[in-house]
Amino acid sequence: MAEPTFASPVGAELAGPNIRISDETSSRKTRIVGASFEGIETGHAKRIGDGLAYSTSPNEWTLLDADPPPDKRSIDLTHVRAAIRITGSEAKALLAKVCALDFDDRMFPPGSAARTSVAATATEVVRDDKGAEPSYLLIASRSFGEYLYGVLADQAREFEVAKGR
Amino acid sequence: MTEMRLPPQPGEIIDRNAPLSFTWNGKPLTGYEGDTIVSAMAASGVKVFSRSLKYHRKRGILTANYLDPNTILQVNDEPNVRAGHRRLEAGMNVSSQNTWPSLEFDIKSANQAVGRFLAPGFYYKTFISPRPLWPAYQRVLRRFSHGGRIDDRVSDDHYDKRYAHPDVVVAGAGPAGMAAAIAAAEAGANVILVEEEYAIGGHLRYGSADDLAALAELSARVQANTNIELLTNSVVGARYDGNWIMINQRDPGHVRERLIKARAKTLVVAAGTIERPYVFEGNDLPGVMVSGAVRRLVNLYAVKPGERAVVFTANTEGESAAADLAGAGVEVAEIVDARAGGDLVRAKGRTKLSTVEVGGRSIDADLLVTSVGWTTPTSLLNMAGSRPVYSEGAARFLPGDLPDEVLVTGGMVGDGTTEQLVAHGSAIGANAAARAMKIRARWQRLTPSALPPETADTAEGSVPDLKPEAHMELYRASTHGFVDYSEDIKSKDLISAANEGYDLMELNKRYTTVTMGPMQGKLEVGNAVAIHAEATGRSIADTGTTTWRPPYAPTSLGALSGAEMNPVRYSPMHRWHVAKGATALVAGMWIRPEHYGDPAGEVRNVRNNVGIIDVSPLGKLDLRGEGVPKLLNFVYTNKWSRLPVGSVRYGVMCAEDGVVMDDGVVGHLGEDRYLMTTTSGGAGGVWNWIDDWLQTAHPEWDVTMTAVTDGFASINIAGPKSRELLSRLTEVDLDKETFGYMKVREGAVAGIEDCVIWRIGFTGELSYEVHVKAGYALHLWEALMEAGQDLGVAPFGVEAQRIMRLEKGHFIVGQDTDGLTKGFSLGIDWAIKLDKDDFAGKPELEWQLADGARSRIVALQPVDPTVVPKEASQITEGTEIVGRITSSRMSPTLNKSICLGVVADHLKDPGTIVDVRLTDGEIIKATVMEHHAHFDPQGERLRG
Repeated sequence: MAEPTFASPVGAELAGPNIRISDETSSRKTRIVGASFEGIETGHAKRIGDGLAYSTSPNEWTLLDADPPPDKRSIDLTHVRAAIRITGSEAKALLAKVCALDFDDRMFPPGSAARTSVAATATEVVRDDKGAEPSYLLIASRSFGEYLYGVLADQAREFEVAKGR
Repeated sequence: MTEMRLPPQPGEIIDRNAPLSFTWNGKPLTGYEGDTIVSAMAASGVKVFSRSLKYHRKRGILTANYLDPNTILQVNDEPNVRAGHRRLEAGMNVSSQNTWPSLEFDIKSANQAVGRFLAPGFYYKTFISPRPLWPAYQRVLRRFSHGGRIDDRVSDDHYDKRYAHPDVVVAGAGPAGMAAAIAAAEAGANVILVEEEYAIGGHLRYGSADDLAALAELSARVQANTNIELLTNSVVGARYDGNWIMINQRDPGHVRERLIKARAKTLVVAAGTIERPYVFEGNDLPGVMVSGAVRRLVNLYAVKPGERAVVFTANTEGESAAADLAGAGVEVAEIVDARAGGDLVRAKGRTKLSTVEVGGRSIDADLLVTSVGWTTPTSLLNMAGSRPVYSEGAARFLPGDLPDEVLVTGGMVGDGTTEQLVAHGSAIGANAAARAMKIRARWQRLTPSALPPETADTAEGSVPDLKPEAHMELYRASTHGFVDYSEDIKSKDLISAANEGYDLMELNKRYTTVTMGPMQGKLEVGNAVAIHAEATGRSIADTGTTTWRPPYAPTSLGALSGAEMNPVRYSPMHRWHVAKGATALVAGMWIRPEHYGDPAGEVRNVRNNVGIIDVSPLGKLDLRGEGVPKLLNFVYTNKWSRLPVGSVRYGVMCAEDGVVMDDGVVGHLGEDRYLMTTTSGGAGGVWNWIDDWLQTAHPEWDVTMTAVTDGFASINIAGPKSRELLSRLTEVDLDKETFGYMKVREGAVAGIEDCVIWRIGFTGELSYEVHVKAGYALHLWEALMEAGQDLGVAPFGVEAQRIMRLEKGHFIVGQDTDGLTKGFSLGIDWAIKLDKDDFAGKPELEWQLADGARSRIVALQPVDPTVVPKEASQITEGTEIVGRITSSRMSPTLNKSICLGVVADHLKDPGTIVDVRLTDGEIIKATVMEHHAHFDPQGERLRG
């Protein structure tokens, strides 16, 4: 029998001159709960090694590609959530079309995290810049992944995105 | 038609090197890039653009901008285009609206002859009776209404929305608005500057050489400032609480219109003023214009508005218009100065202006220009709660008190030189920025992710005076004329309505419809209020204005709707279902396969062989911690304390009012580790409800709940050959003795680790439900289809599942229950344990038991087994309704109709015959069954 292969609901990477929309659904995601973790307060995110941890509600954190601490209760969310990354100088302009949050650098600087509505879907948004480029991770329930990708692809047409650049 | 294009003018915005061809009512015309549709037509000599609403009178240019009521035209497939504003494009097919057979000869102009019978209230009074004829009246009256033609084919135009969070929004980019935007931006604020016209500058655009120089300088500063986002051909449509500003951006590229939802910290309104027409006999004849129309036509578009003009003025703007006309080679026959006692009595002409009567003299003219004062467009201020205040000395309403986050500048406040307007705008813009900084700092302190606010200078500076100039009150001549051009309302009509008792302005408005047409009062309100005041003997100040409501300018339904964003949820196997021709079913937000062509065949295959169904939407909650049994005992009506690891139990949840809210099974997977399933539709609600209990009532319970619905795709393998099929893909021991009914195991299936395998069965067949990590679910699905070929495996959809669960007598919460169904009405009294200490809904259920359940869910068998009563058919007893059919199908297994229903308590006993009223009124008989299950009531197949 063939080996099981991971399938993502999110489509192929879309890239324009100043924007990229890519799939990070296969990243390992873990929910941990407890009193505190790495000093990360609600509304904030932090790089941990090659991974990322963020919190959008009190006493719980989501880890992306990071090992959960052994002393905390952890639940695997890898297959529960889809993850889409939007990177580039036009990322904010695209987000402004689908999300009511203020992504001004003073209100939502690198290291910010929030649970909000993106294209009418409950989504966590994390500002996780790639070098000098602004970059945002959108983490939503997996079953909305295909829809969310479709909306972003549609809304990004004005940024001249194309598949597989 | 005569060519009316002038030689090049200093401020013209047309590009004479870019001619554009278009048609007007089928006739080819030419204009230039930069022309509006109206300026191009006027340059070609067009004088008549439309017919009026009620009397179908010929109408020509009045204002030559967005607010021109007489130049609303059909352009290609788009009706109601403001042709005084819209830029000309090559190839446009422009036509007049609602004229038949032609603009020149319009049969409905016969209304003019009977005009005196078409007084306000004519329709209400005439067509009120006999009432049954109203639909017929309506059909005829619709033919008389304006509005152009819509194209009912699907348009490929796109519309969208975006959010914005500017510090300052400035509405209007005249000198004061531009200055305000520059000052705010230089103070560090992010500014959105919105201009209704295609270009910024306001009245400077058609002003003197000095005005043009000032415009060039301000415009350059606006363009150069990166803190300013300039939106032209856009309009601030509304201001709501919290400075929620609606901006309609027209034709931004990529989409036809975009609605911007701006949460502005401060709003500066710099909308200028709107020139009022004058009310006198003949004031709607083609050739009668306001001074601004003349100034725009001559200076911006190099169009000669007429050959011989009379100018009636009460201010310097009229004088400027006269100077513009003289410069354009128009013979100015006379300037009638109202300030010096000049009196305009009436205008005459058959189809267009030919004579003007002033102070007992007649002057031949084809152009009459009036300049009698201004209206302050206080809409956005009114939406912020401000009541305008009338100034007798200035003959216009002025802004009243404003909230801190709304400021006003420019012509709305007062009059002055360009320097004075700029100075006022700058001061207001700087203050708007200072207030915005304070608000931003507060928001930064309140937002968890935000940076700490920087210390900015938020002190406000003084604002120089900008006083309105004195202006005589000049609203109506000694004769009567049109007040509302859009609605064909005359001054006489307003007076007559006031005399009929509609003596409040708001009542008069609603009765006559004055200010209710496409211009929404922007041109008419000043005159309407003045004439109403005249009729009632009250002052204009006491009369007050009508209420300006959003939107300020028409907004298309496309822009309000925006791009389609209706979230839908797909299972990992969705594309497989589509490829196999499944009929889609929308269940909540989930798109599910209803069937693959033959639901009855799918049922038979499950009963005889094996079928697989995608039940991924099933709600799943991961529960961890020592407190889980306490939680389960609390949220379900039955007992949960001793559920061994590896076992599954069914439970019903009742809300605090005892009403059934959900049901499902919970598997005990390991030490302090449980997996709860809920109905597909109830998943979100149950999650919220339990979280509410955990966070508020029982935070002391050690329970961690995680919604994992999407993490596990669920595949139910059902049918007598299901064990055989599953055993081919897993090492988990499926022996019926060790892995019996209502047991759960974890293990690898088809090479996928950590699958959860449940021995449960909604269909009533031997079945296994496999919860598999969603990312690998398609692999498992395809593996099952491949491994079961020789067993006859086939997919089945939701419809087959519903048939089988009905055969088995399993109710569905929400289908067979409703918002009044309490626990004991389910007929599963064994699952309600009132001897437990406490659980949600217990007191209500105790009361229900004491009172006796008023209704019961029962299985019903129509006596004629070929009849399937529709779901929701009533069960009746004489004239009383005593129940209803909640589920019904023709059973492919039993070859007869089967039902579940709700009946009154006295009808619940097996063998009772009830009357079922079909939708066509026929009454059939049905028998109450002993068990809910029509098929295999003992569950031998399920446990096999």
